[in-house]
Amino acid sequence: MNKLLQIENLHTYFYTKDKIIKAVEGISFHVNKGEALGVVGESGCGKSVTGMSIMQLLQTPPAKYVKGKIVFKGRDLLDVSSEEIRKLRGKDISIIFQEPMSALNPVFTVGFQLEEVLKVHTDIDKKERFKKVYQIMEKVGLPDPQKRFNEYPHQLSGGMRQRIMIAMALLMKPELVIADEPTTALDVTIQKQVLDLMKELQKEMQLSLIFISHDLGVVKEIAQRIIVMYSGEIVEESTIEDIFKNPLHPYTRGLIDSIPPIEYNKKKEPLKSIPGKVPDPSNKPVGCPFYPRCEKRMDICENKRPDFFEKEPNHFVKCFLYEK
Amino acid sequence: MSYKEILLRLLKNKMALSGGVIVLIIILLSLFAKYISPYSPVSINPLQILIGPSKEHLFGTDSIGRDVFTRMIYGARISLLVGFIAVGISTLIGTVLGAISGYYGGMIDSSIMRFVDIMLCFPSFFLILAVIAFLEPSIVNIMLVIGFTSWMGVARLVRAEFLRLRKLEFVMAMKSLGAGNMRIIFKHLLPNALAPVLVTATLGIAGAVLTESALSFLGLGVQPPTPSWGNILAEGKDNIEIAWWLSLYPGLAILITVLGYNLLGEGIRDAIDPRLKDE
Repeated sequence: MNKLLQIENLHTYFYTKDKIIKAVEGISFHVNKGEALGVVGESGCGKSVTGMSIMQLLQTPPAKYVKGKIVFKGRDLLDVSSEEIRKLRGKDISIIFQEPMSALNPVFTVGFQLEEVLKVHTDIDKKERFKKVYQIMEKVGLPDPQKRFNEYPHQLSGGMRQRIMIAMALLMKPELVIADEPTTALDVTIQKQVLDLMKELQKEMQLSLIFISHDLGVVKEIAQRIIVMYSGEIVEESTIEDIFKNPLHPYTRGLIDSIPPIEYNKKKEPLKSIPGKVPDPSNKPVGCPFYPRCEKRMDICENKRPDFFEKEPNHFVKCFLYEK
Repeated sequence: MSYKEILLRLLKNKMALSGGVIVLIIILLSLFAKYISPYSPVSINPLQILIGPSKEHLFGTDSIGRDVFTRMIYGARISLLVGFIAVGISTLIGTVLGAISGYYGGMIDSSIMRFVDIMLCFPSFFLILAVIAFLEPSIVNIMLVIGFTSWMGVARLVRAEFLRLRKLEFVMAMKSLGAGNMRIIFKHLLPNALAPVLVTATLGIAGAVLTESALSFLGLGVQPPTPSWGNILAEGKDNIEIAWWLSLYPGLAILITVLGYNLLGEGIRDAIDPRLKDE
């Protein structure tokens, strides 16, 4: 396997005055070259912190990368200098954020902001920069780039702004793109367009993609492999087909059950949900963090944490249900 | 809000407009002083001492026969130059320190802000007096001293703006694209904080003009024979009983200039405040 990114036993904590928030606790996963990996879970389960940890964008302190390794192309990113990390950002690894409304600077034209990325990373002259910016704008589906170049963010719709964000992220042709809920703030029709665009670009540019979302339905569209996070841990990892056919962890099952069905619901059954909420990350239960909400909890779950193991080929799970 | 909109709102505001016109007229008068007045600001004419305002001498002449109007429009150069450069210095220092303070926060912020507090403890006019007493009173020294003692307000203002700005999403976005801190602070965030700085700077010029006049009046500012409104006023006070024009006109000039800058500054503040809607 050709692993581009390998994360081993990563722990990211936030240290506040009176408590330690364990946002990410011992996660390990990898991303292959040209592969799209989906990361799903509820709000507050550590998805975004994982993405930000890879880019080291969290403010330290309060955040601290306590333990673990983030190996990108053979180098542990937690070991290299902040200047080297800075040069990596936007060039080798990019991130696309959720909020296209506020992720652009209101006082500059979008063209200027795209150009900035090239100014940061290259020495090419103005003509070359313009050419590259026009190219990428066309690639992300913004017609008439010469005109769009001089427009301010407030003149663009949400979908267009997100296209600009994608263009900025892809301008330097990075190998890894982290998309942190890129479609969540958009309305449904635009969501589909942006998703299709990302799918297309991922294939065309041979990108490795980490697609973070709380929406399994969206992840299904784009990812080949998926990891399910809960309370800062990975509870299940498998291929997309497998996870829908045969979800192992009760939490994954709950997530799949809470996708609204498309067919007309004859019995008018209410939409299923998982009762309760994600445990407070500064005060996690001793045993399995899902124990209080689990439908299939057993006595052993309360005080012991299950191991993460390969139940079936390429299908990992962290649950006592499947341990002998 | 775009700059075009702000300009339009500014032009609609009659107070701001009149302030702007006053400032513009004074700037033009001082720039073209050489062509406006046939006299030299320093040449003495013993035959025309203390003549009241007349056709030849609009604002009269002083105790050694110099034309007061000529001296005033040349003096306006000094007053405005001191105003602009002193405010330029204070705005530069205040903006850089405030931006760094607000952006980084933590220890850096605390240290800079404590330094600001210390600087604010000194009664600034007496600090300026004390410093000028040690240095030679010259135009350059006055500009520097006023500049170096009046940046604290700007620093606090810019810091407050940056505290707000640094939390915005586009800062994180720029960071994630590889931009360094200095690029983010000075290229991307500063233009967002410029409007309030502009207001403070405009009001600051009024303050600097006043300070310079006061210093020159006390004899610690611009040294005669170079004219400045402050020292024309100071020379006039010796003959105030027989030649009222020597004191009245420079005093009025200071008043009107300061008023003009204040009106303009407040007009800009209203124009950039989105909460104040056009009627």
